[in-house]
Amino acid sequence: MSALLDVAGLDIAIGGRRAVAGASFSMARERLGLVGGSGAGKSLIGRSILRLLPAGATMRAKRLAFDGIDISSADARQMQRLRGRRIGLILQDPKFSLNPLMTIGAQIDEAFRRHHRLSRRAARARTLAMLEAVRFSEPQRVSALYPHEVSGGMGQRAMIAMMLAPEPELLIADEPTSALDPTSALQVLAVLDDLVASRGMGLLFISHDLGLVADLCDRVLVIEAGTIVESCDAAALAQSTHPYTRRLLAARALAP
Amino acid sequence: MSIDAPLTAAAARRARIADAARALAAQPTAAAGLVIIALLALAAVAAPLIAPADPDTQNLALRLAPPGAAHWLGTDELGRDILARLLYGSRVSLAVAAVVALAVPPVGLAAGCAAGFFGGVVDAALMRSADVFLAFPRLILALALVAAMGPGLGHAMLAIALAAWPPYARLARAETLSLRGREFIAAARLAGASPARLLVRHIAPLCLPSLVVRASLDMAGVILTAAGLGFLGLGVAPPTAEWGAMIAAGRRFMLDQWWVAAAPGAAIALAALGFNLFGEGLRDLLDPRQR
Amino acid sequence: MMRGIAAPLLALAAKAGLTLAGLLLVTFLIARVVPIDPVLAVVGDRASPEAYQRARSEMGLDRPVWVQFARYVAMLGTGELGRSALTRSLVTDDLRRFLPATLELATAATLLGLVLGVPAGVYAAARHGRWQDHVLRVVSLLGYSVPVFWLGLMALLVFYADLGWAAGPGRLDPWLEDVVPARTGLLIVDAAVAGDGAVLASALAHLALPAAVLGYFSLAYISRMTRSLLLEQLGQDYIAAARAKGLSETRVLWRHALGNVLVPLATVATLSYAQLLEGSVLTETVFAWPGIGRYITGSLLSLDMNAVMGGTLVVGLIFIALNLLVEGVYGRLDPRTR
Repeated sequence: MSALLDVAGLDIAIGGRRAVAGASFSMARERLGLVGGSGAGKSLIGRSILRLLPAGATMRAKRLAFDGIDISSADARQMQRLRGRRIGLILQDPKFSLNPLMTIGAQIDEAFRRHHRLSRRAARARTLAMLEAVRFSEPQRVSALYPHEVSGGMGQRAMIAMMLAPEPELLIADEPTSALDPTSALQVLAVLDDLVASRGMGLLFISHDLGLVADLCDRVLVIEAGTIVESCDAAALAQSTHPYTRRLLAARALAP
Repeated sequence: MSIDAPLTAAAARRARIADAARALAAQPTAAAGLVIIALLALAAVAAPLIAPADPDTQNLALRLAPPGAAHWLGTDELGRDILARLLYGSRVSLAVAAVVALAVPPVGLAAGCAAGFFGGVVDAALMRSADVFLAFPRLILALALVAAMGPGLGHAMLAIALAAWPPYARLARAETLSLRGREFIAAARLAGASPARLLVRHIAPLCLPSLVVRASLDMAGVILTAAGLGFLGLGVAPPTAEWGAMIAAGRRFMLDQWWVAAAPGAAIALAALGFNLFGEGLRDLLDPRQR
Repeated sequence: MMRGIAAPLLALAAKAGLTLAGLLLVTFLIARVVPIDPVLAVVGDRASPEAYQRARSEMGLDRPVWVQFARYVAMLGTGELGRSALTRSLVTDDLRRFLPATLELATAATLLGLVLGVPAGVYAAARHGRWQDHVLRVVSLLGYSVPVFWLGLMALLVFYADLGWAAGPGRLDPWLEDVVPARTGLLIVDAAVAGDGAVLASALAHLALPAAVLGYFSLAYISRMTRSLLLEQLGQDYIAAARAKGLSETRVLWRHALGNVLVPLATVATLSYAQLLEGSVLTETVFAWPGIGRYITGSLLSLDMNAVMGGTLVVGLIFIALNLLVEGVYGRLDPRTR
């Protein structure tokens, strides 16, 4: 089975400092978790796949390919065709990752209309259907709201709706529940779990929470200070002998 | 910890200044601006030494001569050497800039810090008077004042200064407000520092960087306003060379002897550019987000 | 929601009122500093002591200062700004004649600055750090450094005297003056309303060069501000998300990033307008544009204090109004504060 995502020797530098060194992994249509402390470079890896690194960051890779397409040498047009349509991205805080001056409905409409030729009415119908799919009981009402008018959990579900609208094959989720309270987090994860499974998507789940990743994902990558130090099945995590992984496990055990 | 670490507060301060100077020199914009300002200062100070001729000597036989070997920038309507007048004119512009730069920011700093620190009536009174002066476009206030008091360099400087102080007060006030609640202030207060000491030793120095940036950028505007006043005949009395007045005089001969007006204008632009470059470079250095 | 609006608006009104009072005080005090004796200006220096005293009390100059100030404010309240010694007409009439010309010039220049400056700023932000960005930076820096009156002179030299592209000084060809009824005082509007093509063409031809010169300064400011406002936005998460959605960079820049800075941009445009009002003083002198700037400077050189003070007051009022607009209205336009 050709790998959905194939990464080899990925280096990312920010402001002259090496943030990620020699990252190598590949994934199929599975759920891969990427775990590490803050500043470990995991978000950067996620962003580099879409070539959306922050200003001042540079990347270099021996191989960075999605479904056989070389990403590191792709031009702007090719990236645009990949983004949204084939690879989606969910960020941490919907207050900041949704356009504050556009209604939620308008932003999801936009995602639909960018990738499918749809009239405004048709797009709106699909937006409402998508909002239902992420378990909003009042899609009509929510679509008219602005991001600051909804709670964090609702915002993240709206974000999921927006990013899944073009039906991508791979979803990169960068700390999607880290800014949420436990109840909302569970709800968002349930939605994510449901949709990823029903659409047969690949999921790259980035988080600092090892337990969360272990529950949700099939395989796990552990990253420490820019280097991937462990790669194993989620079920085998508890038996890990790597010191950093053990530390993360211990922290999880102590956490409430 | 390295053995080169400074041992006293004074040494630490010197090291910080040295670092800042080095960083400044490495910044191309600031460096370029500094070079221009240095040239300007040199021209002003050394004018008697480097000027090719006396700026006031008239030579009616050679009036309105084009740039050439004898007079590198030509002569004006009274036969005076334009280059010499440019060099002497830099004295006026630099004098205005220096006076305003040295007198206004400290006053604004004091007013703004007091307003931010004490709040209440003091704040309201100071800020409302700042608003009043901000309500006037700088040039128009200068015009009105000069109209009332009569032309002359001193009046022009006063007018510009009166219109220039409010932004510094506002800046200082904003910084003071954000610093007021910080822990180090509370700590100093617990240690028994009086309000005056808090303001002078702790708060005011931290407001300085943004005020220095502002002052440098402001100087360009000051030079332009002073030149504008000179252009309208409200600055220094003739025959003293002043760039704005030179443009006004050259205006009559624009069609055929355009260099008479072009040269002083280029000088004004260069001087203002120098201060703008320096200020921008400084701002990029101190607040890189602002690029 | 109404209560949320009322309190800040009242505070703003109070602040504006105080500023206005201060403005009046300053103009009053300035007028009193005049070295020439206003009484002598009226009665002449050969009048008898009795005539002098009579004139003095008539003018109210023998009353205490604060009474004089009160009378001054009352006078202003009724719209009385005195009589211009130069034009012999009421200052208010003069201002009504000259203000529209300045407004027309400032508006045209600001429009130019917006239409050219915003796209330039967007372009520079999109090409951040590359040579196009640096070119714009140089253009803007020059705009902050070059004296406006000098640029006007050079522009007249090149585009009027040498190339003959632009019309000369003044607002209209002399034979076309007073042809269309002055309804608003804005020639472009009046000519368009009256359907007079010749006047409209002449007015536009004369407006072009001064508006272009002033417009350059507006462009310098607006493009720089647009660029930095946009750069601030481009680092935000919602922009990364928009790009991740697969939107074209054009749409991301213009619909998302620019859309989020419209309110600060409105502030920038208003401030630019205010700056241009100040710049008009010198530009009008160079282009012989019959606006309020030229009125003030002309009156100043003849020491016509009524006219100078009246003009200064009006400009100050406009400034206060513009600042009110910036602080009061624009702050409310963000839906997050509704």
